[in-house]
Amino acid sequence: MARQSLDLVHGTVDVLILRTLAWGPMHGYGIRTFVRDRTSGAITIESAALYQALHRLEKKKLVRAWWGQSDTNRRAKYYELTAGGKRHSQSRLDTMREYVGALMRVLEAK
Amino acid sequence: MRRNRRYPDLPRDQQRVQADVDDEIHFDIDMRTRELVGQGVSADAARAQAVREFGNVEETRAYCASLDASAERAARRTAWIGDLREDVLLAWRGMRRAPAFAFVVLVTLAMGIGANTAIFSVVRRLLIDRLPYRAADELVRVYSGTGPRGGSDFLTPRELVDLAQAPSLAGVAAFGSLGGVTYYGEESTEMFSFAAVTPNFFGVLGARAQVGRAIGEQDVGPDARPVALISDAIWQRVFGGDPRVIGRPIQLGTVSRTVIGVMPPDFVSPTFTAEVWIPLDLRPFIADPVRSRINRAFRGIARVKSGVSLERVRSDGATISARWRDARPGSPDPIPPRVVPLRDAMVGDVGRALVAVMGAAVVVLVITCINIAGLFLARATARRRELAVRAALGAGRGRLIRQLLAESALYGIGGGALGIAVAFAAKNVLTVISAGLLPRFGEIHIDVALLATAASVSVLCGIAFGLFPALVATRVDLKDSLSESSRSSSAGASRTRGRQVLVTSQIALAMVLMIGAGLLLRSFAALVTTDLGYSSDDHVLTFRVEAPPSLPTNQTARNAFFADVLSRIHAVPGVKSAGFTNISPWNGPNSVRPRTVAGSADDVDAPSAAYITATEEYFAAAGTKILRGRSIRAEDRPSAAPVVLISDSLSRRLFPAGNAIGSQILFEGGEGSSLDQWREVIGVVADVREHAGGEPVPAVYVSDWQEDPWRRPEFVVRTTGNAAALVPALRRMLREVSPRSPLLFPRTLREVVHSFMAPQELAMTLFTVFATLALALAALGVYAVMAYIVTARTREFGIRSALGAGRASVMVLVLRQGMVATGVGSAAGLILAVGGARVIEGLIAGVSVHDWITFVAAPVVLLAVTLSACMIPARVAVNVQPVDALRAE
Repeated sequence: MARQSLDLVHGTVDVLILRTLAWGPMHGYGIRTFVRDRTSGAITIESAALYQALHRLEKKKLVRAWWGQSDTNRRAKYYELTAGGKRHSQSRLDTMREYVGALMRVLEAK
Repeated sequence: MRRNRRYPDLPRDQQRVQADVDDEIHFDIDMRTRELVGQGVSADAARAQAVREFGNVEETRAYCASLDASAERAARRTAWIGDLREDVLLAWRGMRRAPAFAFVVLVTLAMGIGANTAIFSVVRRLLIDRLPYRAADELVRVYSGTGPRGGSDFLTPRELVDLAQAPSLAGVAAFGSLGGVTYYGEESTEMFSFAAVTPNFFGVLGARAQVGRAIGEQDVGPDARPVALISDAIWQRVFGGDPRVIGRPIQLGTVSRTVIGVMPPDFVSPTFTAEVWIPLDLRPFIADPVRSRINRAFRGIARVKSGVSLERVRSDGATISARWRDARPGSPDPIPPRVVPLRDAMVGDVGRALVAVMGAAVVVLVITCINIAGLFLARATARRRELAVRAALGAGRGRLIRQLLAESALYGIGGGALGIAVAFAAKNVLTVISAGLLPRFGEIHIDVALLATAASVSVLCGIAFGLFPALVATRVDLKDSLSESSRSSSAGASRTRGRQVLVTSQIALAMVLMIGAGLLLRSFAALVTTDLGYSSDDHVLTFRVEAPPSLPTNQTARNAFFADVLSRIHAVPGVKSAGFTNISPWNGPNSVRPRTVAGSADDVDAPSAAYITATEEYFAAAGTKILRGRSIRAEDRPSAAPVVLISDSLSRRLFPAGNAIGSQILFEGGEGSSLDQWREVIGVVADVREHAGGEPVPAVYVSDWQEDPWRRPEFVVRTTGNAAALVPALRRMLREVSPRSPLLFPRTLREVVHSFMAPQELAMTLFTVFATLALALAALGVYAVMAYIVTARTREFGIRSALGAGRASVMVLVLRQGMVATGVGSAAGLILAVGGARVIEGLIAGVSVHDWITFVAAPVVLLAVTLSACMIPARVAVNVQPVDALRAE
C-alpha cells in the first residue's frame, strides 16, 4: 500500500515533468518555474524530487539531456522528451485523468 | 539556449559525473537565489531560502550521481558495440574501395588456410589418428630380408614359425591375398577383395566381429568347414545388413563357404583392402620340408610384447636368421627380417609425401602471412595522412589501432571462410587423386576441430597482420604528416628496411619450395622415362578372367577354355595382340630359384627369379622385347617338351658365356609339381622392373599351357586405339562365353604404371602448385615494395632527372634495390634448400637431392620473375619528370 502511494507521488511528478517538457527542451529550474507559474503557485515541485525524477527519467531514456547555455549565459543541463518519453507521457496522462476523475467523483459526491 | 554538443558523447568518469550533478544543483540554487534577490530579499537570506526550498541536497547529489554512473556504464557498452559496427563498416567500405587489394588478400589467405586445413586433415587421419586395432602401437609388419628383389613383402612358412618363437613377440600371424575372389550371388556376380588369414590373425590385431565371430582355431584343420568372414561394407551392400546371413553358405570362387561373422565398419585389413577373410592353414606348408622353405607367399604381422623396444625385436630377428644359416651350411649369410611399425607400413611413401607436402603448405601459409603483413603495412603507410586527420579530430591511438585491427580481422575472417571452402574443395580433389593410394582407414573428413583451428588461425592472422602495421602507422607525428610538404625527398631508410626484410624472407622461402618442386619434377621425369621393360601407355589393357566354377579343374579343360577366350579377344575389332600370364611383372611376388645343369641343388649363388607364365603373344602385347631366340609357340603345349625364356640379367648370371639358348634349366624345390622338370631355354627377353624406381627383376617365362592350371590368369591386350574403350566390347564377348566369368580389374598399363608413382605424383603435383603459389606471392611482394619505394621517391627521381640523370641510371637505381632483396633472399633460400632437400629425399629417385640443374634453374626462374616484377615500378620511376617532383610538393 505504501509502495503504491509512493509510486503515485513519483508518478505525479514524472507526469508533470513529461507534460511540461512537451512544450520544449528546458533545464530543471525552468521546469520548476513553468509548473509553478502555470498553477499560479498552487503546485511547486520540490527541487530534490525534481532532479531525482529527471535523472531517473533520463536513465529510463524517457528524456535525454545535454549541456547548453542558459539565458543568463551559464552552463545548464537541458532536458527534452525522447520519442519513448512522448508515448509514455501520453499514457501517463490518460491514467492520471482517470485517477483524478475518480478522485473527484468521490470528493464531490453529494 | 544554445546547444554546445551532444551530452553523452564523451565517456565520463565517476568524478566528472558527480561534478556535473553538482553543477546542475548549483545552477538551480543560484537561479532561485537570483529570483529571490530580484524580489528584494537580501543575498544571504535568498541563498539560505533557496537551499532550504531545494530539499535534501546531499541525498539528491548521491542519488543522481549513482543513477548517472550506471547509465554511463550502460552507454559505454552500447558505444563499444556501436564503434565496432562502425569499424566493421569502415573496413567493409575500405575493402570495396580497393577491390584488387581485397581480392589479393582474400585469395592468398584462402589458399594458405584452405591448403593447410585440407592437407592437415589427411595427415591427421593417416599419421595421427588411432589405427583401428587394440594397442596398435605394439603391432609391426615383418618383411623378409631376402627375396628376388633383395627383400620381400613375403615370408616363408618356416620363417613365420621361427619368428613366432622370438621372445620379444607376443604373437605372429600371417596373411596372404590373391587380390580378389569372385562371388556368385543369386542376382549378381562380383568381385570381393579378400585375404586369407591365419587363425590367430584377429587375436593378434585385437579385433572382434560386430556380428557372429571372427576366424579362429576351429576354422582350420582337416575337419573344418570352409568359412568366410565379411566386411561391414559387403554386409550392407550385398546382404542388406541382414543378420540372418550368419550361417548361410555363399559361393566364393569354386568353394561354398559359410558366413561366420561381420567385421565392424571401421575395421580395415592392415596394408591392403579386404572385404572377405578366409582361414589360412599354414600346417600343410610347414609339414612339407621343401614348401616350407621356398614358398615365399605370406605376409607377416606381429604383436610386440608390451614395453619391448623395436631394437629387441630386430635383434631377435637377427638371432633367428643366424639359426637359418646354421641349418643350411654353405648358404649365404641370411639377411635378418625387417621389422616396421604397422602404421609406417600402412602409410608408407604416401606418409612421407604428405609430410613433405604439409611442410610446403605451411611454408606457403608463412609466405601468405608475410605477404599480407607487407601489404597491410604498405597500405597503412599510404594512409598515414588519413590516420593523422582522424587523430587530429580526436580519435585516440587505441581507437585507430582498433579500427585497423577490425579491418584486418575482417580480412582474416573472410579469408578463413573462403579457406574453409577451399579446404572442402581441396579435400574432394585429394580424395579423388588419392583414391586407391591412401590406406582407407576411415574416410578423410575435414573435422570440426580443424575447422575451428583454421578459423581461429585466420582470425589471429588477421589480428597479427593488423597489429604490426597498426603500431607503426599510428605512431604518427601529426605535424609531420599533415604538413603538405614533407622535408625528406626519399623514403625513410628505417621504414623501408622492415619491408625489405619481409620481402627477402618471402623470396628465401619461395626458393626452398621451388627447389623442392624442381627436384620432385626432375625425379618424376626420370621415373616416367625409366625403361620398365614393358609398355606404359594406354594402348595396353590388362584384366583378369576367372574360369567358371563349373569348369573341371584339369589342365585340358582349363587350357581349352582360355584358348577360346583368347581367340575371341583376337576377334574383337581394335585388338592387335593378346596374351595372358599367371601374374604379370607389375603384380608379381612368385619366385623360384632356377639353376643350370652345371649348378648343384645347394648352389649358394642361385638367384631367385620371378616365375611368370606366358602365351604366344604375351611379349608383343606387353611390349617386352625378345632379345634373342623366339617366343612361346602354339606347339609348346603340355605334350611338348617344356620351354622357358629368361630375362637378360638372369641369362648373364646363369650363362656368362652367352650360350643360354638351347641350354637346360631346372627350378629348385618344385619336387612333385610341374616346376620339377628340365626346360630348354628358347629365348632371352629384356629385363623388366616391377615399377619405376625399382631394380630390374630376374625373371623366367614359361609356357602357360604347360603349367599347373591357373584359374584366373591376367590378360594383356594391345589395341590400336585407347585400350580402355574396348572394355565394354570385351565384357559383352565374355558374357557370351560364360556368364559366370566376369572381366575383373580392367586397367591400362598407363594406369598401372602411374599407380606405382602415385605418391611421387601426388607430392610433385602439390609441391608444384605450392611452389608456383609461393613464387607468385613473392613476386607480388617484391612488386609491392618496389612500387611503394618508387612512389615514395618520386620527388627524388624528379630531382635526379632535373639534374640530368639518364633514364638508364634511374632504372639501374631502382632495379638494384629490388635485386638486392632478391639476391639475398635467393642465397638464403638456396642454403635452406640444401639442408631441406633431405626431407624429400625418400620421394626422390633417379636424381641427386642436390641435383645441380634444379639448383641452377630455380634461382634463374626466380630472378627472372622478380626482375619482371621490379620492371613495372622501375619503368614508372624512369618516366618521372622534374615537373612531377614539383607536383608532389
